[in-house]
Amino acid sequence: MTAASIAVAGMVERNPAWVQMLGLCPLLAVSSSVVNALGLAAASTLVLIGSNTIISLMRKLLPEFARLPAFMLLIASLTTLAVMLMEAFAYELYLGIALFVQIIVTNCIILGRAEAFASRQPAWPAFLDALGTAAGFATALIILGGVREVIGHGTLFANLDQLLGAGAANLTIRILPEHQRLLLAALPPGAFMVAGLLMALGRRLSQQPIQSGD
Amino acid sequence: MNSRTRGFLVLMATTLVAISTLAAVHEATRSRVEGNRARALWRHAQALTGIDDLHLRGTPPAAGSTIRLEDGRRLLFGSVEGYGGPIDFLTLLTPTRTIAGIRVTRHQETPGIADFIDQPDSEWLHQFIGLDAGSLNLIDGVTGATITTSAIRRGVHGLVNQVGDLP
Repeated sequence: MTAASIAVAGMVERNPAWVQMLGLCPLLAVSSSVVNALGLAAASTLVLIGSNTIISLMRKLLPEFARLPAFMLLIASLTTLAVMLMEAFAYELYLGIALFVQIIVTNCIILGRAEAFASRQPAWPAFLDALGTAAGFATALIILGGVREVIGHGTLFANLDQLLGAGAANLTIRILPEHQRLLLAALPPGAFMVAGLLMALGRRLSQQPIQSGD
Repeated sequence: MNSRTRGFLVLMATTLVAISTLAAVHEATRSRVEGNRARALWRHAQALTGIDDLHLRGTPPAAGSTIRLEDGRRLLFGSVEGYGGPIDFLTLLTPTRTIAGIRVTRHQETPGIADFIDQPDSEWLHQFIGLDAGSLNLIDGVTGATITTSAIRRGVHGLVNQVGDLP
């Protein structure tokens, strides 16, 4: 496998959210707007890349029985780190989504990549695998967050200053007038509906025509 | 060294490194986090009192302290032990010492169960408005959040009582 194919596989063929259907709890809970989606994507990326790389570096030191405890320890520490950084540097966002950032600990995407890939591969491929998987999760989050924010709030990129600093305060684009928004899309049932429709669309687009004679 | 000893040592080392990293980050970000909390608390105070320039800077007063506003109202800073840890809250009193508003500023109560305590349009918190220290027993508890609701009621009662002696 080449470096690029490892990263691309994580993003497309093995996309953790759309293909493997993993990490759906935080995905659905947090994706009500682009800024929330970006916040969780950033935290997941930090934890995923950190855990994959460190686990790959430690893989020869760890006997079988100590593997899972060590993975959990690392993932929990990295998640705590992400939450602490968020509390210090993006407090508004922290107040809104910290709860879902904390449950990255139990996110099967991360333990899954640690066990299936990082514990058997050198650090560079493990890093690329984490990068691809994180990009795949981030893409899913941001698309879902964008669609739900447009339909549910009528805006795109609102409150980005919570994550990117005061310079991003003016990036808000109003797409639908205030009175035409469909609040359902921003609420939990809307998360399921929009996610289901997006998954169906993704399947439709990626479907290969059936070869005749097979 | 057999694999059991090695695994044990690696786990211990990982734990130590993880704990020291987290402690270092905690220390490094502490003043920033405290600043964030202070700013958030002042924003709550501004929203509760309707005074936009209320002490924007500076460390917020400790729990138990009182600010007397120019119009005679009093802003009280309270904290009480709830179900999951301390619940910090603000209480606004009219010049005649009836409650004009309550706002929970920070808490660790169960998510989903106690969500109603920190929402600005909380009907439960609305019950406090117009009451005084003597009539706080009129507040309804909430099933499932018994400890949370009775803690807030107790905290508000203690805070309002304490002001009773002030001129």
